[in-house]
Amino acid sequence: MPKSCELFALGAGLITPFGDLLATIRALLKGQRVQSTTLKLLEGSPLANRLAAVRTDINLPTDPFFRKMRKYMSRQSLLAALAAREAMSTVNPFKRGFDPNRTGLYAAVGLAAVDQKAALEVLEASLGKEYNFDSELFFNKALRLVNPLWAFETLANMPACVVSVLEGIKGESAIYSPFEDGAAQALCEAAECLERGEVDLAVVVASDSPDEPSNLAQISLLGYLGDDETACGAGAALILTNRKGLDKAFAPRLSNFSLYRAPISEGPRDPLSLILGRTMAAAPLVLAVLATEAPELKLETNMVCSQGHTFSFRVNLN
Amino acid sequence: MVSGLGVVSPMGVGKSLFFEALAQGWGGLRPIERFELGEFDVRWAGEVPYSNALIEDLAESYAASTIFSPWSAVDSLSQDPKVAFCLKAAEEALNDAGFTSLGPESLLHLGTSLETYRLGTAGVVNLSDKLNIEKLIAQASLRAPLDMAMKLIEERYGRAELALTNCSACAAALQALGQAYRAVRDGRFEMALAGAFDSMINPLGLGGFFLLGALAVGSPEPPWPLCQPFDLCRRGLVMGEGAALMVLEPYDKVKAQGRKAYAEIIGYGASLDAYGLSAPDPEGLGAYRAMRAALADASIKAEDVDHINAHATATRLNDPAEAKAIRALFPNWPRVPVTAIKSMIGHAIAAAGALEAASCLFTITEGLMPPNVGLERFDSDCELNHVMGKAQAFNGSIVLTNSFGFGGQNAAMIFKALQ
Repeated sequence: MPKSCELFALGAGLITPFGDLLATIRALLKGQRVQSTTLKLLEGSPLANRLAAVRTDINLPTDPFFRKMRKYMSRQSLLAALAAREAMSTVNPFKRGFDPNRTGLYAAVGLAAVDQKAALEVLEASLGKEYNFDSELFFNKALRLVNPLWAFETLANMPACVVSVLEGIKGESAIYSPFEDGAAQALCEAAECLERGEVDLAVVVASDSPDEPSNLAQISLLGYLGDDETACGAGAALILTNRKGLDKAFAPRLSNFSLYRAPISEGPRDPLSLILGRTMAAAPLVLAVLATEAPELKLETNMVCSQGHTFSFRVNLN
Repeated sequence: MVSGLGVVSPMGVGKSLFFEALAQGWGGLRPIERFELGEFDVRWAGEVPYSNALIEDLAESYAASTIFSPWSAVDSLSQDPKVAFCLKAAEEALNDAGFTSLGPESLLHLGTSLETYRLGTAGVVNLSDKLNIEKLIAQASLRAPLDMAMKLIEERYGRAELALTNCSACAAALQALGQAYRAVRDGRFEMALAGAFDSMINPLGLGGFFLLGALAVGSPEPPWPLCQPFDLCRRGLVMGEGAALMVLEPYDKVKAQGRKAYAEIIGYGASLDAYGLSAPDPEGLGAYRAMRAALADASIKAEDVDHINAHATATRLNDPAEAKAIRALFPNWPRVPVTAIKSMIGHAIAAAGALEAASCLFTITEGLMPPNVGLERFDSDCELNHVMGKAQAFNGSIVLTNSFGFGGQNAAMIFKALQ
């Protein structure tokens, strides 16, 4: 992408264990760090000492439609929806003349966040005498235990679709998974589509829940999470445009997005790791949000993603 | 342009079998053999035939890879056959285009849907204790990460400059191909290997779609419901599986080198319904916008399109919405032949769009439009110029294909015959 391309960040949303965007910035500026804990479900296992930052007291918006949609949402969908709602309600783009049909949604999502309890119930009900998986038992017994809405939680495109339905975004879309590289690409692609004029506004959303036990186990087994790093669930959203003629005098500007292959010897490196923990698939967007909204944090704006890409960008403040 | 193609489909391994079946109107749907179904009401799918032999071949070839750890290659591929389909399709596509490796100027962009739970291996861990923590660890390692195929391709063919996994459900293939097309067109990459792979013909996949009420169900005894897109008696989708990958290169480069190619991609468009999670916009407005965007990208008029390869899942809600969108956008719709190859291959979910894009290449290179073999009497809400019975001659040059994902993601792509 040409270096001259500069985008205006009209609004942002963030949900972390500290709370929303403002709460997170306040906490980080005070030097607070997320509270990490070991997970009870991993006790006695080789991963017993793995750390996670868990937030359980999430307040839903009062919007009745949002609350109605909640039953379809996995935790990742909820994190994406909350971050997007915060960003969209700050900007109100469709009231400011942006066309929903020319608003793109570029998203990233982490490893599927399946309801652990339900998954174990199903697995147990499907086990034969030798503790083998028995597909007949699965179809004839275990499937009856499953909430029909379970399928909505497992589909990787659901966080973006939930955001689209809740916020009325009707332009083009792309969704990437399962690690940081996806959100980095979502940002780069949003920039490219804005530059080519395919969309006038880009809503970039990313969420992940690496703090859930099976996800924590998976990323640990893959070697993507350091022994002393904290896995942190988060959702982030950023609203970008390059459209001229808007009142955007105070909007921070982002430019020089780049995503390319790092040397094979480089492992994941996330500048947020020490202050917020590893938000995995959400990390590039969390970084972009904090770098634009809280420049005082003086964050590095480059990272090495788990699939071996280097991602960087520049923030130009007014 | 598309300079290489690899296909693994319910017709078999390789694009030749796929093309031959499309020409003959052979169905690839048959009773599920991969696992026992008990009294389950869904018994019919488009399984890739002889997939065990394919998996054994590949497992031998990838035996030294550590990417399958902690499972063996054969265990992992058996439990997650979509990865095997992807590897085989990649091999065929790269060979077809004359590539032996990826490189620093290349893009690898794959679409797929869900992590597979390798449940067949559950017996190897102790799951007897209800609160056994081992279960949790087992559950994590039972999951086959979505990027496994990507890693294996890069292990064999070298690292691409950018390697991505799109997970936009049934729209994933066209999104991956669409983004790759843009990247090559805009000069960001010299070459892209793009497409999609998927298999939901496993207990969790079938069970999940059954719970969503999307599958054609019937009695455990034959006759089982067919896949009948646009038909008055359509009863839902029949699951399929497979992979189709394409090598995309700049038009001028391939032409200057005098190499063979299949067709040119001239347009891509996408949209969101923003309507609901479980049903499409009944007016087909999202589908309409995706097709319109593809036409605009291609700088052509709707009247220039000679053939449409419809998404056509055979569900009650999707087919009329798509038909409505086509009728609204194409003023000449009674003269535009529309086909629905899910009637032959089933719904390969994320791979569906890639297999249907491969079908467009078949139409352009072989001069034939494959039939919608499941269609006997079309629903009045689904009135279009359907290709029924057997393949029909194609004398045009421009073909459009649609893919619409569960949750309201839409994509359309336009192919053009080479001049």
